[in-house]
Amino acid sequence: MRVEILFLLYILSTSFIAGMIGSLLGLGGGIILVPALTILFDMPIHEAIGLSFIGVLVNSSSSSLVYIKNGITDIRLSSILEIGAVIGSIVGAYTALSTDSNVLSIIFGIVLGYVAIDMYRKTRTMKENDIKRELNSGEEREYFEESTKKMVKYSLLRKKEGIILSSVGGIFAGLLGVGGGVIFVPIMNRIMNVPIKVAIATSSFMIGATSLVGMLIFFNNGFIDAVIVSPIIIGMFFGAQLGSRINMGLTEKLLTNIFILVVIYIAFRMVTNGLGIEVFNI
Amino acid sequence: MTAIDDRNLGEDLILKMMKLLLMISITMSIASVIIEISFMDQYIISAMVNASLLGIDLLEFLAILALFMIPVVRLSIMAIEFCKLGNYINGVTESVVLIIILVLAARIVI
Repeated sequence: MRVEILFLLYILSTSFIAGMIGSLLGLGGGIILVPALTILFDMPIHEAIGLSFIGVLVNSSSSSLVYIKNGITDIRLSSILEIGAVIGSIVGAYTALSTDSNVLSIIFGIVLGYVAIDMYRKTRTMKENDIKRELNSGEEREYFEESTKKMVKYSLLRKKEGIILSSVGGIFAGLLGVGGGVIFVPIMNRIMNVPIKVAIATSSFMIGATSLVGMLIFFNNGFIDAVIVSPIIIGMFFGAQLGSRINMGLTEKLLTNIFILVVIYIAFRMVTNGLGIEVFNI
Repeated sequence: MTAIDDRNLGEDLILKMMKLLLMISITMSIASVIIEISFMDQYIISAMVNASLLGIDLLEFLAILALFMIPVVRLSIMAIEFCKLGNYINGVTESVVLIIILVLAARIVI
């Protein structure tokens, strides 16, 4: 019995950490939970992905409570991107059930690496003039920035490209048992000119639907291990509450830098996993 | 329309429903963990604890069901609110996503 309690505590604390990071950056937490369950708890990948979908759903709902309450989530934008993301996640989840995802994992890692470098370059090189130009060229929106106590205006650009690319994000979400936030946030931030904080909040809101679709498909195929569902739900909920509250107090620049670092780490793990190289094997 | 203005889109109702369903899910999960780590299942009426639906223990099933209901409820509310505001494209989008989810869920039950 003592071992069982410890096991549940390990799952609980792992989910808490995954939930906190996932909520802080709008990722959902699956990108941390899946490797943790497979590496630390020796769980088969398909079961880990199935459980991760439940965790991401909890994370999305829990963090959205905080973000919506503070008026950061752009619900209209999430509505536009959701349809492509959901259809993509169906394609991805069925692909994940029938194929070995090593090659896709490598491709995903490379794409993420590029996204991280691109985001880094943008933060280093974008001049004040560029920001002003982008502010005046699209559908105007605004949100309240908690860290500076000011209303921040931004223009929503390239909607069509955003919709198409969000379906690609959905495919990866379904394929890898993640919410898709790691793709949705850069799409909104880099392509659609949405501030990172709004992108994170909107992504957190959207990934509820993509993860639910994945959960249903995996549940239908018997890949949800209900025994450890409860500690994952509890850990993810409280982790997400903490992560979203931390997010509110951070500046745009710091949040972007943390996001870039985490994406680089994920890209590295994706490539090494795809190549079959075991890193940090515990 | 700004992110702040979007609060009109039934956000308060969405928040209330999400909070309620999350609380149900968390309560069921905590109860399930408590039963798991204690020996309560030996004393509590076995019909309650050992009952299962779709191969899952009752409490865990209820926790997952409450989670499932969160996107379903919020998509329904958003579809209705968008249509009320005359924003039919967004309303249809939400409805399509909702139908996809319900069809996938129906495949599990049937």
